Amino acid sequence: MTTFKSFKSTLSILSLSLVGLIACSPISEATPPLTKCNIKLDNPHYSKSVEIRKGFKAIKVNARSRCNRQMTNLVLTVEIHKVGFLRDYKVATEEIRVKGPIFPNSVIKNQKTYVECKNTKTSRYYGEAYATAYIKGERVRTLHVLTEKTITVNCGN
Amino acid sequence: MSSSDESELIADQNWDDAYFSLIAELRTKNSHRYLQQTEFLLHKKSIELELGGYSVKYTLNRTGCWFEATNPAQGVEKSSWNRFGWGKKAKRRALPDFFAKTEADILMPEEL
Repeated sequence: MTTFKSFKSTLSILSLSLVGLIACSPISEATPPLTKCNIKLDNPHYSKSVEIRKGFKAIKVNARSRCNRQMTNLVLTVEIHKVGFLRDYKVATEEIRVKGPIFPNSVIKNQKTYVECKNTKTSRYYGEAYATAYIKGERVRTLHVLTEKTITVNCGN
Repeated sequence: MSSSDESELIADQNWDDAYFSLIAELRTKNSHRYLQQTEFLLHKKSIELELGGYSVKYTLNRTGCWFEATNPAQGVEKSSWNRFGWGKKAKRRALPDFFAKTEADILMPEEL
């Protein structure tokens, strides 16, 4: 496992890292973040629809982004990684960029990231998502969120 | 599972059904064009075309293919990359499905 995976959390929802927007108090009282923005990343799963509609198996990862502030220039990226012998490698990536304003609490979904199973070799997959956006003219970015689970499936790629 | 989680799951499944149905439909309807595009892309390494108001570009790299689509009128850009393997044979086999998938990405309404 790479050190990158140390970010892995038992929660699949991770708040945006908005360092620039978090006010520091002179006393030791904690100040809550001014924004509530998050990415919700589902665990990798077999998509039944792929099997029914297309006749093969595929592993899919869905993500949703929501923020209580108006954003512009949102870039939401979802990736699927396969656990390798020496290192993990990316097998699919999907990115959506929305230039115009996104109103507070709108949900931006990325449901198009999947990887086709080419054979039945046992493999391990996990998903990763991250986003950047401008809030009040300031560029903010999320931490890289990993799926809660790395799944082991008979799905080689 | 809460009722909102359940309704979200049903909505996701319905969306998946529509999305993968569209991919299958495009794959069948445009099979000849996708085969031509595949050969052209394998030869040229990069191709550009217009689809549904989007400027679309496909670029091959060592292990896969990039898809980039821009629609200045809507202010939306999409891109994706899939791993196919190192060889031409693997790419030739995977590209028609990739063309269908990426065209469905354009034609499916945005989930905003």
